[in-house]
Amino acid sequence: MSSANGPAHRSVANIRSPPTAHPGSPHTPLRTISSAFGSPSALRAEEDYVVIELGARYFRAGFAGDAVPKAVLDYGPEQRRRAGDYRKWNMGYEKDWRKRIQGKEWGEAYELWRPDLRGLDLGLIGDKVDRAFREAFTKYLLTDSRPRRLILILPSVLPLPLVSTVLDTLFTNYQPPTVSLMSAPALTTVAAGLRSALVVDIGWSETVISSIYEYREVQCTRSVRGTKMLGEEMFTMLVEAVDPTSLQERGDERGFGEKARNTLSFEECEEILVRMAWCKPGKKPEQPVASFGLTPVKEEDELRSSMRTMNISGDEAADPQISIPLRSTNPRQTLKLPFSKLAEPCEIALLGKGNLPQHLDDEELPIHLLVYRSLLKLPLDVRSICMSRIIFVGGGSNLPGLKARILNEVAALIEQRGWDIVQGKAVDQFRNNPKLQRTRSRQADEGPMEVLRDSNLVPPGLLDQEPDPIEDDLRREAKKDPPVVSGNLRAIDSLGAWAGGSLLSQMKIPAVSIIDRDQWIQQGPSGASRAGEITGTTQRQSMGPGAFKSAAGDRSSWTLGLWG
Amino acid sequence: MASFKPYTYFQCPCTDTNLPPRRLGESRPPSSSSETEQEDDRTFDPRAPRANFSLYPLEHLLYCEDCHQIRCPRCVLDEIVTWYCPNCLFEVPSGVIKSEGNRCTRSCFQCPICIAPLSVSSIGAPPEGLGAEYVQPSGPYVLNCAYCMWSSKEIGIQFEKPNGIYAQLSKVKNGGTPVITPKERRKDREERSRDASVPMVMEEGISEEGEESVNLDAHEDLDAESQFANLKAFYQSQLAEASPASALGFTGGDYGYGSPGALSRIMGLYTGSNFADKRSKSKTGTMREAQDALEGLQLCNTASDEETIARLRNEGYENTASVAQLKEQTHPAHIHSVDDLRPIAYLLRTKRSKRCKTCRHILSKPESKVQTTRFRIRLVAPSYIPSISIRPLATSQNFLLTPFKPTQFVLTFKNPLFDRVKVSIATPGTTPGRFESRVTVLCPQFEVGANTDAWEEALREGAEREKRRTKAEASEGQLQAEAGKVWERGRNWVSVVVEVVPTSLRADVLMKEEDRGPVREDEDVVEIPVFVRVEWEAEGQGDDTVVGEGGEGG
Ligand SMILES: [Zn+2]
Ligand SMILES: [Zn+2]
Ligand SMILES: [Zn+2]
Ligand SMILES: [Zn+2]
Repeated sequence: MSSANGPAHRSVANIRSPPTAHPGSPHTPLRTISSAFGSPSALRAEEDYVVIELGARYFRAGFAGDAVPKAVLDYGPEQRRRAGDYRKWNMGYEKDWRKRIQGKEWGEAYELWRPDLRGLDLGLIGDKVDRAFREAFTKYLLTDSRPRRLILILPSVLPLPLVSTVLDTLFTNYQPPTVSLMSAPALTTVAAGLRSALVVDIGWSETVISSIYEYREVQCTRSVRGTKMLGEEMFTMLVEAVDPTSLQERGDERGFGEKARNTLSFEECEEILVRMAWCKPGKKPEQPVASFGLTPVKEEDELRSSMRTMNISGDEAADPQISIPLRSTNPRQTLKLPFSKLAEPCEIALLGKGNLPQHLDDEELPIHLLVYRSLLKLPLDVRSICMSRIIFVGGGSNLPGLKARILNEVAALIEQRGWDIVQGKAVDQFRNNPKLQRTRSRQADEGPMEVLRDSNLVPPGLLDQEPDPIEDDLRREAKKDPPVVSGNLRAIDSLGAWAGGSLLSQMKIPAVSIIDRDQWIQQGPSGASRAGEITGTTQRQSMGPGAFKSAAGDRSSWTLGLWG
Repeated sequence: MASFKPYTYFQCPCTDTNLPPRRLGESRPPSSSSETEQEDDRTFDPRAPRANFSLYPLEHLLYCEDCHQIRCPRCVLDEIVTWYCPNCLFEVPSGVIKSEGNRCTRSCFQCPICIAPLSVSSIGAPPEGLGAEYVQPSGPYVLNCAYCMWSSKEIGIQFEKPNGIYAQLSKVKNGGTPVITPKERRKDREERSRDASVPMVMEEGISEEGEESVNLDAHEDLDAESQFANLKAFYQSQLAEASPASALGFTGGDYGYGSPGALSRIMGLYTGSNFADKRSKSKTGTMREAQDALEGLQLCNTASDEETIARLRNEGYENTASVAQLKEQTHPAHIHSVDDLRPIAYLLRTKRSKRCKTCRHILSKPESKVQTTRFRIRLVAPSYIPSISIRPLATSQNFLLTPFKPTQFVLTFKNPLFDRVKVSIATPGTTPGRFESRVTVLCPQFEVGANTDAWEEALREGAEREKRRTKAEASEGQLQAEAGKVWERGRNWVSVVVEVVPTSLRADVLMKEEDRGPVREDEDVVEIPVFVRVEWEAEGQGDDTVVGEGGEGG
């Protein structure tokens, strides 16, 4: 081509080495170690996994073996600017936020995906993941483009088109030899040091409660009460305080009207939510929840009771005015709110204040009720294990006071109703029909059961009511080890799903759902075996091109596991 | 919008955004109105949300001479030449990156409040007496922010030595309590396992003798790093205990309960099958769960939440850490107050060389020395691709467009190559998006002359000026563009005229109801997708296609 006679081109053409050679041609003096793919980090690229966790709002990435991810990135509007668009640094940029409101719903511009796939631009999701991945690698992980094996942590109920889009993006743009899929709630359990747990994930668009028993997800329930709804309530409260008239024109259904959305920016609302929102302790159950724990510390109890009295007194000292400077309002102003008011959004959004439970749909249950219902639906032995291992994760779990409050409320519900009061037809059926329980474990694949109406999951091999050698084992072990705590309400802290993935890969434990790049590129999601098909019968599987590569016959068939 | 500057962006062909994949050399005839009609759905829409991910300023792009293609960050491969600290400019060896992570481990820190660089200063009494000026100021030392006046004293942290702050800081919590080091934890674990005569995997980095042993609290509140380390040690010892045969690794195929395979039953749930259970029943040996903090179990500490609430109540909004401040923290969990923030060790940076993803040829290679910003090789797109700039034809005219009033713009192509190039451009008849402006290119095909050396240019310059005027301008003596004619031409550049008839930005009169709504960011800017095809001949081969995109505003 343009090799003509220009100095620039000539020089470039001359130092070009033939395609097969390393760049260490005589014209490009190099440091001794930096030959093409032999740079110092070669070892790491082969050994180390990169662990990626995808959520609706955040992207986490880091090396396996680390306790925390090196990169935690969001998908906000600033993440989707064009390259070289530096307007963010312009004077007065912040003031123009009203023009940047995107999407029909409040906060829509900040999420990667939503549970409702209708109208979702899958290509755009791929682009966002790609950009976050690139930024994480170049800015935080400080790695080159050499292919690395990936561990991908996903919510356990992510729809296949989303899983597929993410895998497409990763495989085509970054060529990882393999991607191992892992489920967030199971890993959350691992990262708490537990084998079973009730994982309460208070996420962006919903709260998902997964019951994990012996590392298996046996039940999954959800409620639309998540941090998004919490944000909307906070927004309503703040906007009302700034300009009560702006809420009068209400948008469609849940949305906000134009005027309301222009009153206060999403960022500022979220800022206040993170910094100042809190949750009231609620009524104290007769048996204090804290005493269920293993470590009731005296001073803590005293502190608590002293704070309670402070709460009750209700004077200025207990409920002071809090000044919150607002910058996105026009004009800027300082809002003064009573401290107690900042606990209101949580009461309404997460705890369902102002709604009688019987008026709520199943997917609108307040979190404490959802926890109670989830436990109620579990078989007795699983329930008693899980109720002593409640793990709160997700953005909403950071709200000060929320965990204790939910435990209090659940304790009150148990006290009030016990486990025998059957509140739903479904549970009734479940209990009175032992056949249903037995057949389930055998026909795990036959579609959702009426028993678990909330559950979108087929609980794999849910409950074995027959005498279980595992249980026997547990009992035998219990003699050797301290007794297994069960039957009381107790919350455990987990390092979170990301750390769980990081831990597991350190243990060199293979995932069953390992997707080979070649297989994915050639077969796509349709190449995956149906869940259950994969067991031991590898012979039946057609020999895909990828099969020749792997020595283990098992690898010729692969599965998307939960997500297939 | 008073000072709007028209701009151009280039789309890298490696993306499939709304455009059917176009192969190199695939020709596309210049647009006529009927064809544009048909191809409307194929037209690249710079307004589409995905467009932002594939558009780049020309200077951001590289060029592969072998593939004859521009290369964006998505279609190059990176290799790291060096890691360095942007603050002290020290080069960091890759081994250190692996062991210590991605931050400077010397004394480079950013302010946790305002991210300005922190400096180390002494707060000890200044030395007195004769020759005091030659004596180093004595400790203790603190980290100081010259910008917002924050000091590490505020979080109760001082240092004995003025250097190696990173190591010193890692040993102390906010408030001054010492951190129990991983080494101490390891030693404690080993002692316990010896007492219990339980098999224990030796962890990496065998503990040194002569360390003082610490008695760890089984109910301790652990930080993330310690909890992780304790969990890891716990799982390792459990695995070793449960299956001594494979103490140091996974034997494979063993799905026995309590073996490493038991953990991999986490994956068993993915298969949705029961095969793991069936097999597991024949095995014995249970892996138990963590029992206390020493094994990584952390009971939820609700009292700390209540403390947080009490602080919120008493100290108010100003004393809470902002979202931006939390984002900079490496361990943001459980931080609520500014008093919990830690100084931020500088994130290291890299110098990278870039290769073409398709043919692996090197496109950019920086000097390895940190201090220099020079490159050994740098094939930037502006040296290969005609640059495209846009300006209003009437120079006196305000940049702002008036609805429905035809406005002419000059699109200038400047050729950096030392060969003549043939350029074809095409635009859709109307711009994509809610607000459709009509666009006409008056001259869609033309040739641009070759670039020349600088001295040659100087010689020619006088003559050049004369040639600039086109016939159209010379004869009529006024600014009147003519269809099919180049507007202006220079030695290695050509200008053509594009006419834009902007539409009104009144959303309320739009046909489709879902389109109505306020004018959003950048919708008041007319962006015109322009498909540009550049062909040239050198040694009998070579041509090139690029999708360019121009923006202009009003
Ligand atoms: Zn590209
Ligand atoms: Zn440094
Ligand atoms: Zn500062
Ligand atoms: Zn190439």
